Amino acid sequence: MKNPIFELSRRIVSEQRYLALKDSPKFQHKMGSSSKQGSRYIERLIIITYVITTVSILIFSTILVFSDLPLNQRIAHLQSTSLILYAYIFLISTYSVLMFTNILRNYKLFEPIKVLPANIGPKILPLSWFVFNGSSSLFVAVPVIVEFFLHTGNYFSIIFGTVWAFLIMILGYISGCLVVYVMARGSSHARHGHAGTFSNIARISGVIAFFIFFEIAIQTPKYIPVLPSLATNPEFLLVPLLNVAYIAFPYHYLPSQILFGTLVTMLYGALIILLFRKVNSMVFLKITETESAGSSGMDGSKLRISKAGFYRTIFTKEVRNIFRKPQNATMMLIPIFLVLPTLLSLFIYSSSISFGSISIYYSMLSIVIVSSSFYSIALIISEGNGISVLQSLPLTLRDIIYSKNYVGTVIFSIIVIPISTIFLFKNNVDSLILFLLPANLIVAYSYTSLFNLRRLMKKVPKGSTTINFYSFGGNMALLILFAITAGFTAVPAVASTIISIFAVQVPFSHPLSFYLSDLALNLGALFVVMNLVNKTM
Amino acid sequence: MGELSISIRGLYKNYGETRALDGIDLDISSGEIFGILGPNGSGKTTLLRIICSILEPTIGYVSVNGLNVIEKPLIVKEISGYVPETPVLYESLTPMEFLTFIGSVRRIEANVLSTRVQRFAEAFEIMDKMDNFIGSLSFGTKQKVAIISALIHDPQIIILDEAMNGLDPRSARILKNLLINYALAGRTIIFSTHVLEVAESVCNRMAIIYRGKIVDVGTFKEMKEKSGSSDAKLEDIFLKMTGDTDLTSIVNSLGETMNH
Repeated sequence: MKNPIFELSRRIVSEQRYLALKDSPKFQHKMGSSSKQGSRYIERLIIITYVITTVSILIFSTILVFSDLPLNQRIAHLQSTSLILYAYIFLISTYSVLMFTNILRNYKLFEPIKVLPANIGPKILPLSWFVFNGSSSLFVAVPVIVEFFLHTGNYFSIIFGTVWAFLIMILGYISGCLVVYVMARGSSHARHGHAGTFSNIARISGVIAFFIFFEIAIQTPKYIPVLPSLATNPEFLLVPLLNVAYIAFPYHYLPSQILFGTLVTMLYGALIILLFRKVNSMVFLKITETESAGSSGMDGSKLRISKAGFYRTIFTKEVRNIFRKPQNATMMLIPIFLVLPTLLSLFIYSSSISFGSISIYYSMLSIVIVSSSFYSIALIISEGNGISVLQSLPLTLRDIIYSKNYVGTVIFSIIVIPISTIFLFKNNVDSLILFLLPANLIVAYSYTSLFNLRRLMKKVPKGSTTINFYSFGGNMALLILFAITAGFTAVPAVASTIISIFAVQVPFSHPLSFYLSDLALNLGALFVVMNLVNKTM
Repeated sequence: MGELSISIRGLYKNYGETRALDGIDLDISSGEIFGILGPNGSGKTTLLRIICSILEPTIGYVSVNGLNVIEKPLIVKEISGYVPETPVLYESLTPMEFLTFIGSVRRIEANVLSTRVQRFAEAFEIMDKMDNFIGSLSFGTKQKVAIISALIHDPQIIILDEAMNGLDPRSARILKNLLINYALAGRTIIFSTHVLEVAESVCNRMAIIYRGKIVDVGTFKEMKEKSGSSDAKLEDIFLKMTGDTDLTSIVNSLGETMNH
C-alpha cells in the first residue's frame, strides 16, 4: 500500500482538476467509456501543467539572469538579480497558495477526508501544495545558482542558494497561509449585510498594506544599488531575502562567512520551520472548519425587499459573492501584489524619469494587463457551483459578461485612481492629465476585460455544474490572457504615440495630445468590443 | 388534462462515449403532474435539465409550450422553474438576498416579490433563517430556499429533481399540496423521485426510465394492468421494469459475506 497521506494529497489535486473539467465535452470525449482513461488524462494533465509552469519560470528567470557584462560586473548583476528572483519565489509561492486554497475552500475538498478514521492532520496541505504546485517556484533560482557557480566555481553557492530558495518558498507558503487565515478569520462568525463586505474589504486593505511594506523593504533604492557592499553591513545578514546575496552569492567565500552563513541559515531554518508548523496548523483548521450558523438580524415577522434594477441586483450579487467569501476576496488581491514590484520601482524612480507622464502610463499598463487577465478569470471562477444557478436562469451570456465587467471595472478603478493620482502628483503634471491618465487606464481595462470575459465565457460548457481555476487551463490560460491583453493594450498606446509624434513632434513634452488620441482609440476599441459582445453572445 | 405542454421526440444525450439518454419519446400535457422514476444513473436528471434548457441534447427535439428548447432557451427558462437534485445556491448570500437576486433577474415587481417571499418563507417556516448566510443553513433549509426560488415567478412549467430530499414531513406535505394546486391551475409539473409513495399519491402519470430508455409510461392503474397484477405496488412494478426482482438473494448473499 502506498503512503496514504501522499495518496490523499494526490487525490485532492486530481479532484481539483476533475471538478474543473468534468463538464467539458473534450474531457468527456477523452474519458471515453472508462473512468480509468479519465484518471490517466487528469494525471497527465497535472504533470503537463507542472512542467509548463516550470519551463515558463525557467525561461523567465534565465532572461533576467542573462547579461553580456564583463565578469566583475556580471557577478554584481547576478547578486542584484538574485534578490529580485528570490523575491519572486516568495511572491509565486504566496500566489500559488492563495489559488490552491481557494479551490479547497470553495469545494470543501477536505470534507470527505475529515470523516476517515485516520490522523491525516495538517501536513496533507503543504504536501499536496508542494508536490504538485509550489515546488515549481524553486526553479526561479536555478539559472542564477548555475550561472553563479559557473563564474565562481564555488559549491557553497549551490548549497546555500538551494537551501535559501527552499526557505523563501516556505516563507511564501507561510505568507499565503497567513493571508488565507486573516481573510477567513471573520467568516466563521457570520456577519451580515454591509458589515461582512466592509470587514473583508478592510482585511484586503490590511493585506495590501503588508505587501507594500514588504515590497518597500526589498526595493528601497538605497538597498539595491549597494548590494555588493552588503558584506560590509553585517546587519543585513539578519534580514531574510536581503541576506541571500551575502550568504549564497558573495564575491569571495571567506571561512568566517561560511561559518556565519551556516549559522544564520540554521537559525532561520529553525525559525521558519517552527513558524511553518504553527501557521500550517492554524490555516488547516480554518480551511477544514464547518461554517456555523449566524444569528438572524431580522425581526422574523416582515420581510422587506428594496426595489433595484436588473443590472444593479446582478452587480450587488457579484460584489457580495466576491467580498463575503474570503477565498474569493483573496483572489482580488493577487493582481495587486503581482504588479507591486513594478509600481514601487516606478514610484521610487519616477522622479528621475525624464520622459514625463507618458512613461508612467506605459508602466501602468502593466496593471491593466495583469488585472484585466486575472480578474476576468477570477470573476468567473468565483461562481464555483453557482454557475449552475446562472445557467438555470433566463440570463444571456451577455448579461453575465457585462455584470462581471462592471464589477471588475469598479474594483480596478478603486485601485488605479489613487495610484495614478499619487504618481502624477509626484511628477507635478497638468491637472487635465490627472483626469486623462486614469480614465485611459479604466477604459483600457474595460474593453480588454470585456474581450477576455467573452473569450472565457464561451469556453464554459453549457450545463456546467461547477467551475474553477483549472477549467480554463490554470496558469497557462492566464499566460495566454496576459499575452492577448498586452497586445490589445499596446496597439492604442503605440498608435497614440505615433499620432502625437506627427501632431506635436515631441510627445513626451506634450503628453496631452497622446492622452487625447489614446482615449479616443480606447473608447473606439471599447465600442468595437461591446459591439462584438452584443452581436455574438 | 389540458393541451400538449412538453413534447420530446427521438431524444439522445451522450457524455463522451457514455449514452445517458437513448431515444426518449414523451408527451406531457398541461395540468399534469408527471413523475419520472428510475434507478440512480438512469438519466432522469439529464432529461430534466434538457427540458429546462440547461443542457443541450445530442440528437432529438424537445419543445416546451411550443418552444424549441435549443432555439429559445431564454424563454423556456423564463416560463419554467427548476429545482436541482442538490440545492445549489450562492452560499455567501442570505436567502433574502438570493431570492431578491432571483426575483430581479426574473423581473418580478418588488412589492409582488416581497409578498411572495414572505408567504413562502412563512409556509416553509424559514422566516428566522432569511438573514443567515445560505452556507450556514441545513440541507433541508437550503432545499426550501431552492424550491422557493423555482416557484417565486409563478412558472408555467415546474421541474423538480428529487425536490423532496431533506424536507421535513410538514414541508413535504406543503410542497405536495402546492403541486396539486399548481396542476389544477393548469401548470405542468414534472418531478423525479425515489420515494415511490410520493409518486403514487401525487402523479397523474409517470414514466420509468432505465439505462436512458423509457421502459414504462402511463397512469399507475395502466402500469398495474400492464404488469398483469391488479394489486401490484408501484415498487414491484418499478423493480420489475428495472430488472431487479430477486432482491432477497442479493440481501442474503451480502449477509453471508459480512458473516465470513
